[in-house]
Amino acid sequence: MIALRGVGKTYAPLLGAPVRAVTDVSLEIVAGEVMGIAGPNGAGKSTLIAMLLGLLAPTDGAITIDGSSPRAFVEREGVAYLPELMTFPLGWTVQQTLERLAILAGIPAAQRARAVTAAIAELEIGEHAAKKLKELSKGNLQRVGLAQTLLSPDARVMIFDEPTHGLDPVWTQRFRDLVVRLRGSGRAILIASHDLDELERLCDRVAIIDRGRIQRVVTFATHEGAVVERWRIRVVEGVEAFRARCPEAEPGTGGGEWIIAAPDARALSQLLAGALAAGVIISEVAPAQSVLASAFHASVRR
Amino acid sequence: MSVRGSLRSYLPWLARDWALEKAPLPTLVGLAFGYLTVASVMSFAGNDPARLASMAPRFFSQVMDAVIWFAAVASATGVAATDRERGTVRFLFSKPIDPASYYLAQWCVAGAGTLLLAGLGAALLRAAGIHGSLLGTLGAMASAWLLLGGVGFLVNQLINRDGVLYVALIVISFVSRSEAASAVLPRWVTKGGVALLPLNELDRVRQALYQSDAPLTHDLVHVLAYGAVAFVAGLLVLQRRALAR
Repeated sequence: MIALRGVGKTYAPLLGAPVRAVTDVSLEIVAGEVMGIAGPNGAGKSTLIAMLLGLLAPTDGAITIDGSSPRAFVEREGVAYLPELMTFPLGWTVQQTLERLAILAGIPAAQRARAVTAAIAELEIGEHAAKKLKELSKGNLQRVGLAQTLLSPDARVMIFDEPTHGLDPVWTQRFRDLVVRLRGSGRAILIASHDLDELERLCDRVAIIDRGRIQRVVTFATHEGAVVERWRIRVVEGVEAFRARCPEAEPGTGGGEWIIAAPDARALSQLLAGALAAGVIISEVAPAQSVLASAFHASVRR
Repeated sequence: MSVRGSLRSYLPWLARDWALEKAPLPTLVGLAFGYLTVASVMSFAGNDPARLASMAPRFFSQVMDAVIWFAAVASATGVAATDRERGTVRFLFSKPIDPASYYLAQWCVAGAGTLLLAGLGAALLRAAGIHGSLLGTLGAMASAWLLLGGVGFLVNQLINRDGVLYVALIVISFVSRSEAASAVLPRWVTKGGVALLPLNELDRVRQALYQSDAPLTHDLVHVLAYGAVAFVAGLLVLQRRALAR
């Protein structure tokens, strides 16, 4: 549904040297998929999203959405989009903001009021509806941003840029539930976030971007491409035997906790089998970092 | 699937934005300048209707010039440029609307707003006894908007902080085409000034229209063509350049 082929973007300011923000990005996002983008600040995520919306043109390569250029697609169907920052004039009220965007989203006049009311109810911002945006907390402002994405319920492309930024744990979970509800139905969802745990929970795949390039794509359905290098082991009995088997193990933070390195599950199993055969009792084995965090730290070198 | 945002339904919101953001400055200037003008005219003319009638055209044009200039400049600056700088374009143009149509609608609403302001200003002056042509005032405002609004639209599309360039263009146009400049500046500079905004022509068009006279055709054509070319150039820039910068 969304195809990026060799996409690059170089900013050429009038004064100063050109800045290469995105280099040779190739990626396909199919209908029904939830794709994540992770990367440090300045990695090129926002530039990539601006190009997907047709707000910026790539200087190399091409982007198509459903066979059209991004701009043509957006003008034909619209995209449910939550930017990283709420950039409406802060003098607008919540109600006005959503009414305006409902018009621009193409909701027919007869259904507009109901759609706005439903979005306000879904995000529970009814008590703030008459308030100006400048009176809202960061979290409530983010909920308004999420509400406006619900004004395009049939959108075939949804893009969330740092969606849980400023949300409390309750609303973070509500957002995750929302994505679970919205996924499928032939819709492609893209989530850019610094929250690796969130991406791991929600996405089918995550592209790790650094210095404008895709460094790795982690697929969660099969864990293909996933790299877990460090594991947390809790040893209840036989610490000496364990140390003899795993001399490179480092003490962890808790009692009896050790961190060991193993490049994959097979190597880990062999290591543990040897320890168990030597009489070591182990109560817990877990990745020292999540699959994505491991891949992220392995890919993003500073 | 095809959806289209309704710009017609959005027009009232654009009108509201114009009224709240752009109208206050020219309104205040018009009211203050109008009040001072009416007060001084009344003190000079007293109860002499003949004297009032002879003074009215000059004062009418002075007040309306102020309203027209402030309305046009305030309405023409910081439109698309502000959306870009603030980042509002990301929300607006993720919706199924065509940016050119959106800014065209906004430009038309601003033009209608300036006409309304000029009409109200003229009506208030007439009510205070300073008569001038209402229809001529609307014509003067329309021609000023087509020129200054058209150039403003182009400058808006070119750079983010458009106000400085826009005002600089107007000032340079004024200076380079003034009689004093032609006496002082080299000939090639004043010749080059012909390419700048035809403000002298606009001035003659306005003065003629205030008096319900027909403006000189070549002045009117120069003003309207300049504004139209600038506006079309602005549309081309909008379609060719990135919406977010």
